[in-house]
Amino acid sequence: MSGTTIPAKVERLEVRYGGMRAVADVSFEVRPGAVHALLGRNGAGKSSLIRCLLGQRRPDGGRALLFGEDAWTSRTRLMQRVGVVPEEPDAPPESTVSRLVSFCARLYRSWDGPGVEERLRRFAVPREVPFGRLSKGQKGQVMLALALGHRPELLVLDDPTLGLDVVARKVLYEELVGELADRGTTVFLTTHDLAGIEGIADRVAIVRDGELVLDEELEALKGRFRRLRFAAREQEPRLDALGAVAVSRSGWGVDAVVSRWDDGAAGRWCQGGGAVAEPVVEAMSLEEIFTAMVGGETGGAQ
Amino acid sequence: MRGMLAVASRELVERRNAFVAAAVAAVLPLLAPILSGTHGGNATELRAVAALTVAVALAAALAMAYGAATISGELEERRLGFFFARPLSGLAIWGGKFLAGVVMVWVAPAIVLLPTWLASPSSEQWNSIGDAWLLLVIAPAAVFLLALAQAAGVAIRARSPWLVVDVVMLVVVTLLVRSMALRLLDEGATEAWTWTLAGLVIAVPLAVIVAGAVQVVQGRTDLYRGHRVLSLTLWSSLLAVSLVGQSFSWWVVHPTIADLRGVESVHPAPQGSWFALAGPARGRGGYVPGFLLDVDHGRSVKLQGSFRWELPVTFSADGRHAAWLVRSEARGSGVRFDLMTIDLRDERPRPRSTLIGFTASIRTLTLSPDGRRLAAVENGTLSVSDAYSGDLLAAVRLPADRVSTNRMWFAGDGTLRFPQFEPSAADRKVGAVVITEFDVASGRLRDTGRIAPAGEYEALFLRLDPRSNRILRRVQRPREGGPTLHDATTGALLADLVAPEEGWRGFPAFLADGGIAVAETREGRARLRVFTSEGAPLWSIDLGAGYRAFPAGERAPGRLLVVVRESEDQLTSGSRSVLVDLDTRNVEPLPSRLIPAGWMPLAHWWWDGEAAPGSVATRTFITADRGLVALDPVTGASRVVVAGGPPAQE
Repeated sequence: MSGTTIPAKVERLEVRYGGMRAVADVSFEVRPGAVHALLGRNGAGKSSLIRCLLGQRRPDGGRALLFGEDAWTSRTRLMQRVGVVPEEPDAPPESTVSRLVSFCARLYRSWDGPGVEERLRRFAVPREVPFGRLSKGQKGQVMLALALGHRPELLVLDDPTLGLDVVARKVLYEELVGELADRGTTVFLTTHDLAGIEGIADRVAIVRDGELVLDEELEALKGRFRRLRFAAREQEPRLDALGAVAVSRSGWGVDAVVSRWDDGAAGRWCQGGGAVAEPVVEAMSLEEIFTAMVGGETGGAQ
Repeated sequence: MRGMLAVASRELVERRNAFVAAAVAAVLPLLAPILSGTHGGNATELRAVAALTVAVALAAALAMAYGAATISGELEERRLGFFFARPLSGLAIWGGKFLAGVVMVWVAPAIVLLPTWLASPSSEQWNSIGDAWLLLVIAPAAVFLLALAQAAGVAIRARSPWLVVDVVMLVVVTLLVRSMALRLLDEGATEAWTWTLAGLVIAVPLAVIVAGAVQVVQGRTDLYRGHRVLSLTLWSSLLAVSLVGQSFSWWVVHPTIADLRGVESVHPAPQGSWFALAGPARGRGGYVPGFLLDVDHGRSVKLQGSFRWELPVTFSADGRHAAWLVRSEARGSGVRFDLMTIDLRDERPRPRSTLIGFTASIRTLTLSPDGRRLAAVENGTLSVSDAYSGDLLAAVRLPADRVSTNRMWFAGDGTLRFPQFEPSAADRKVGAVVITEFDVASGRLRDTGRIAPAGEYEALFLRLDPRSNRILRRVQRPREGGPTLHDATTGALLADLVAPEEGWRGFPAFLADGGIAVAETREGRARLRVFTSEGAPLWSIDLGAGYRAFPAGERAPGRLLVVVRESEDQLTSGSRSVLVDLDTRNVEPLPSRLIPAGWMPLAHWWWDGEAAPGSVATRTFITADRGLVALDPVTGASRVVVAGGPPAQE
């Protein structure tokens, strides 16, 4: 791994398709050794961002950098240091796994042949079956094995669990955790499997309609988000000071998600005249935070 | 390169079935004679033809199938990202896949041909069409087809608005190529067209191949963007090629007099300062542009067409009108000629097309003295038309057994007079000259006289003097008689101009004062004899060494130009000119082998009349290197009209 060089970074990135902006002015960086998850709904611009970061698409504005170099212009060289697992397993369907392995082995300066063999054995992937005939899970496993074959410094996974069953997802995450434990590889991934990623991600970024609405350490994120439930009163308690993200009302009371919770939050709320008797305060999962951030009517990170 | 080879070998391994199919197909030609019951040499030929057919079909099918599926298919199915996620450059990815395609479309047909070739390697069929044809045509064509299929696959699968651009640009480029082709072919610049075609044959496939590469390098995994890059690269390069071709073709067919490297044909007007000339132009290959040139004032008019072997221009007797034929072949059935006319009195003369057209059978073309009427002999029919409106004024069928002599003149506006050769029944090489008159108003044809015997047709040479209504006849061989003077209406012999001594061969000409000059040669000596208008000998003068001698017009009244050929070899470089003062009998050599432009072996297609004294025909000269210079008759100063070129083959 090359010292303090940032493995992946986007600066004011912009991607357009005709008149439509798929990614708008997005900036963030993936720090060395981190597992950085990029979250967003379908069509939010995640894949466009990944393609720019992998040098497969020229940004319409801004820059995408890998290890400090422009991903578009230096892609060929940079791919020696990057492993990629695409959203859809895209290996040539007519090739057997053996041939795919030997093809990839010819392309990299350092190729961990035994490691690849070991992974494929562990995954129990048939070696002489054409890639196109493998199951979805097996294809993902082959892609992961190929992506890790040259011991990449950065592993980029574009929704690798899409369409995988629970077992396949578990195997994939175990492999990732193992890789992280062994080599400290930096991981940048997009996923819809928020529960699965919650256990391994260090940092989370969320894009909505092409714009970055959040980029934060996962622990900090989970620390400041809370769900509040309290009985309805004639005068609505004020939630502004707590950074209300979503507020819903029902017959029994109010259900609110706030984004500025901390130890002193309850006190500030009381001083602001918004306190209610015995509010129920619940910690939130990543999935709940994500839903509140991009699925609710009230929007915007606070 | 390593990455490209890795991609190529992967593609070939995955598509090895193509070679298996080729091996199976290779059996078919071997079975063909058995299935058709053919034996012996015919069986060998059948096998060769069948093998070539199968090989070509397989090459085409593989090129199209592989080209259309690879890259564009992978982009559509989002599978090209697999390669772009590896340390492979876009060029290596494209190059590897394209290289694999090239190997496939070359090797698979070779597999088909191999067994048949091994069965009969010495077959003439192989020698005649196999080797060169296969390598030079099929192999590059298959590569082009491969690249074309790849480009078409991207354009069709992308389903982007750029497809409209593709269609529009295809039409635009096709029209540009067509227009450059027509421009060059209409002008007869066939060699330039061959160069252009060769350029296109190289440039178009190259543009398609490069565009395919750029599409992958720049478009990468984005099919839509790839199509845009492909279209921009392909059409901008093809548009550039087309525009270069347009510029080149325009440049080829728009030479100026200054571009000429000597002259091949010259045709001075019998009076005035206009001149028709044609010669090779710098950098234009075999294209020989023609011009009408006003030697005194520098005005020029470019003639349409190439005039390598012919300069079909005729001037009116006063030199103020001209008409010429423009070749218009390949536009229907056979060669056609369209008649163009021009009024040279205009400040800026402009060619005018007429509605008059001719076939390749046209034999004679003559303008009336005022340039308004045009007489032509074509396919045995004499026609007289209005040269400007194209209206046919009269036409008549000429006697079938007579041959045009290329001499015809308007004896007044309403009458045409012309001699024709009438072969004898016993020997068609020899015969008589029949003088015929055609009355335009009545459309009646009337024989007015004959010159008999006229001698051998191939050797017959006639000079006319419409003013005094006389004909000078000359045949080449001494035994057929020397020059004779005849009445131009009746053909009656007026005088025999033959030398009193044996062996002299002479060429006669009328002089401005009505007299006659005969330039003669015998045994390497040349002389000039002068006669009265009735043909009575006056005097003769020695012109020095000479193989042949020819009167070539009077530079001024009484100052006759004579060309003396010193050998049979070169017309210009082997000849010299002298100026004979008919009053003082002084013979003055002209400098540095200048040959009068009006001298008949150089100036011809049609006869417009004898050059008037002091006309451009007697003031302009061909140089040894085929340049054209004008000599001032008073000061003798020379001015280059057309620069000379490399020595011409005569």
